[in-house]
Amino acid sequence: MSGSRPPYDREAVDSLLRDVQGHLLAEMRQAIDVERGLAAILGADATAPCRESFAGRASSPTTAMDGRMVADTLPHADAPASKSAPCRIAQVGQHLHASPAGSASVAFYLLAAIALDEDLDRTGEIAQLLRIKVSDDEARTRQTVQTLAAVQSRGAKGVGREHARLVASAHAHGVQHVRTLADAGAVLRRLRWPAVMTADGAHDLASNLIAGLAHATALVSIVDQVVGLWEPQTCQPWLPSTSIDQVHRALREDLAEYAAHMRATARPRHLHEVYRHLEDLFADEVAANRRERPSIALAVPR
Amino acid sequence: MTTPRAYEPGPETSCESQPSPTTVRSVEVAEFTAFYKDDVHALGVFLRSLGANATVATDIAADVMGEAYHQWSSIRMPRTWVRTVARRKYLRALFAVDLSGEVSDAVEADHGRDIADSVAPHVAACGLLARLPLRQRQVMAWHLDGYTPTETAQELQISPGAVRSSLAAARQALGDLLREGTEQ
Repeated sequence: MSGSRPPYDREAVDSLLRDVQGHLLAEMRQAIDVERGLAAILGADATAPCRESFAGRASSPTTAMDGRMVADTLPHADAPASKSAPCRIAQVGQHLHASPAGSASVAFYLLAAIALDEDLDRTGEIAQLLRIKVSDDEARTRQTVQTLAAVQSRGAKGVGREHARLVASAHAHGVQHVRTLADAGAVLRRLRWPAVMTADGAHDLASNLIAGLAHATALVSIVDQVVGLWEPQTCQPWLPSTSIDQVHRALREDLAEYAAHMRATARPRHLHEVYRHLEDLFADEVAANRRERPSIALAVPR
Repeated sequence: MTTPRAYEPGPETSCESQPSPTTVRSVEVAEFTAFYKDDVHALGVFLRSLGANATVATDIAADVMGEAYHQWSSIRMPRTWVRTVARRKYLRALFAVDLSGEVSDAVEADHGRDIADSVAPHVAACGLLARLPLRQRQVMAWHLDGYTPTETAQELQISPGAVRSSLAAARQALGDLLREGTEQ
């Protein structure tokens, strides 16, 4: 077999292989958080029906109304404005190992909502809070949001939808040089935000982002979805009920706080005006049988 | 090594006492949870031994485990199943060609030298494994994971003799590399 090669030292090779195995195992233990990985898999499964249900209902004007009712039940306290609500939302989910993908989606919905509220100056700030890798300069951030809007528009017309989703998500993460679909896919897999995200999860996130721009633009819808995500029947089975309650309560508080902040600050457009505008858009959409879906991101007048 | 899953709906279960779908599902979730906790790191090591870098290994392991969860009821030998799927995923990624016909930079960077690049600073020995040809790394990955040459041969769809031959060649190559290192 080895011809004239001298026999190798079997013990040395065995020792080498043991070293390699030991090191790689230690490395993987560091790289893979078992509990969070499990939460990502089982949590995604638990929340998927809710997400689908949400996607199905979100285009209905009635849902927007229901969502507003949900929002109206939240305390409109004169709480001090907090800029960290979206970040806390993501952290609450992660801290309790509760559906990181769901937390990420919610955070992105918030980002989309902010972008649609045309307060683009705050987008970079929010992105920073969410620990999204977005460029420091505001111009880049604006460009990212505009790219998202443009991509969403193309996606809505069914032209290169899949490519658009991936590119949009990559752009959302501040990736500038996405030349191909494969690049975007590779980038997405490497971004892994939040800490645990499978390729499917990344793709879901991209899809949700687009869906968020198209449908879940109102904060009320976000509230609706968040509440739905942590309903007892859809929550993760390994979480004790007390934890579920905590998550539920914390999310409500965060969203209430965030909503209060949105209301308290001088915005170019009050939220209820955004809601009304979106309801009109949804109504138009239904009337048009969704064939020529208006690009909400672009349709919101300045 | 490739023993079937512990839980299978037993033939002794009578119609009257058949578990409800909810019960079956909860049992499956518990089974999967135990399997995941027991095997996910080993699956990562398997991928690293194949040549994937830590990021890719982690991602593929997570993907494959997710797929396993969704198909859990139909998987009889999950340990082998996840390794087979993981290996295919890695190879697909390794040889993926994008729309412009170029190998993706991100994946290209995984090939071979990744183990050396990321691990060598800590354990120089790992770099030696990365210098093996892909086939030898493949059989070595299964071997290190406890699979016999016959089992490996089944998974790679080659003869057991070819597996043994590749293993011997891999060990010989590692021995040569070790000797070279010592002499230097």
